[in-house]
Amino acid sequence: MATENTNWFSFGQKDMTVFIFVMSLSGLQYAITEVLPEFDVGPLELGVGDFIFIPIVLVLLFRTFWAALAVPMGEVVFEDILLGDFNGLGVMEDLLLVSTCFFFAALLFQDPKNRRQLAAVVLIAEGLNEFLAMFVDIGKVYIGVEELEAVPGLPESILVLEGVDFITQMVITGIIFGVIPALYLYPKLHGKIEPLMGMEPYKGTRGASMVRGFSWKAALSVLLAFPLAFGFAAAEEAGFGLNVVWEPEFMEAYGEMFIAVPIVVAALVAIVVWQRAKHSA
Amino acid sequence: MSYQEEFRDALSIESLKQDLLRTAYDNEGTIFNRLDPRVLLAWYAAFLVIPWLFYDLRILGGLLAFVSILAVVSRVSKYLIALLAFGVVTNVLLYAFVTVLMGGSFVRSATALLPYTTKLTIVSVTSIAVFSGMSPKNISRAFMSIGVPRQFTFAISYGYRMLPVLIEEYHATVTVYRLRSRAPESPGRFKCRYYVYLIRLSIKAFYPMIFDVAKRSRVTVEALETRGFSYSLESTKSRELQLGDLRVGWFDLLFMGGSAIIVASIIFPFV
Repeated sequence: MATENTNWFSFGQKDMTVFIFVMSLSGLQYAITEVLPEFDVGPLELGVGDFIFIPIVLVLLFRTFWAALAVPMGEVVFEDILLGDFNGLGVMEDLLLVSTCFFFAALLFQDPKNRRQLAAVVLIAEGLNEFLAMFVDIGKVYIGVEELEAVPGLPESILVLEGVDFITQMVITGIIFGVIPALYLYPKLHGKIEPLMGMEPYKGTRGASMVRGFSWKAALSVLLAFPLAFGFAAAEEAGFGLNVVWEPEFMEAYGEMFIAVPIVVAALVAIVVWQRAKHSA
Repeated sequence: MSYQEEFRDALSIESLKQDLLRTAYDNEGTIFNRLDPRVLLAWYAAFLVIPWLFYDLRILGGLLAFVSILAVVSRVSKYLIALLAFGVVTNVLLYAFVTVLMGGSFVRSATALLPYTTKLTIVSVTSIAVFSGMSPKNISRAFMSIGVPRQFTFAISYGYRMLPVLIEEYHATVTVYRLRSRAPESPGRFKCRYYVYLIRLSIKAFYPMIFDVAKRSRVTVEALETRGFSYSLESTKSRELQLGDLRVGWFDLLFMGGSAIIVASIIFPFV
């Protein structure tokens, strides 16, 4: 594993090339699928989701942490920032979840000639990502909706819809736009694209099982990424947990002046960001 | 023109492409671009927090109206706004509908969800307005000023320059594939065979793209290195140069003060 010997954050020239390469292509893919007629019926995404085969095949070819990190970066830069769909801290959710899940799946991939393994790894990358993202989504609604349990049927409907969404996502994004095109694309690119970037193609071991690539370190990093991602996403949704405190009783207890609190908080956030910006400039 | 044709025209690749490029590039002269990027970032951070502090729909509605006006002023893409609106409406309806299936009440679940989705919408509209109203140079500088690594701020300006090139190239590749292949004889029910054909083409078109982008990335990095990119990452001098001409002017103060007054006047009548 190239990434384990060197510092993860040392960024060589080759890493930069791979980073730009993967970022541009997965970004292009996100930009195109963003505007393709897809139907987001509420939380359910029907129709063309993402062409997930592009990023996953590239990560499997280059197998570095930077390649995996470039996937969510492509989404952030092309889809979120340039097309203006940026959602603040929620971006951290993508950066953490997508990159660790993809990297983890790439480590599991041991035998490039084994097509069954290739299919399994693509499904693991997408499945793990969707599965963890599902929990983040459910948690977000629980935090964001006031007295959720008080509305009968609503918590169940959230669980049901997220579950259905997970299944449709796995079928559409995972299989139709994931496994099938990846099976076509990976063998075609393997050994051709790496030399173009000045790299050795990944040989792997013929007949090696996926278990060999399983590392506790990588598994742990996925497990760590999940609570972190949830923390960031929840912080974004909940405004740093402040609306949990914001109950009507406070109004009675502290009177009208309590309205000053959120304004002061917003001002404080602005000032902190401003100070940080000015300080490092 | 019939409704169907109009709809197809609105969704044609050419018009989508133009809409995309306008979103990403047409930001000269918007208010957000005239502001100091650091001030704008601080303003944005405050606006990410404010909606979460209220449950009153009148306040949230007022805030939504305010950010929507800002979005109109910064000329955001109608297509993206339409997608957003569709998503929000179906979100509430679908949750409410499934709640009924689970034995709950449609109205109660919709009213419970409404403040939450309104907050999400406020945040999304603010984001679209701010980030499509800011030039990528300013976005990079704003992020650089809060200490985001240079590799990432570089990625923003790179993406900005590459997006039209890549989309143009992709579109050309898809067109070439269409010329060289045969469309299905009969479109099938609901034109499904035709769509499958288009999707297959759009997947295949990525294959030549990958090689082109690989070559281009390598050339880019080589060009960057001859200009001392890695060296400038470490150097504080280069940072100072890039951030040196940021100034807070009267316009920034006016904008901050103005939005504070507007937000206060939205909130106070209802508390």
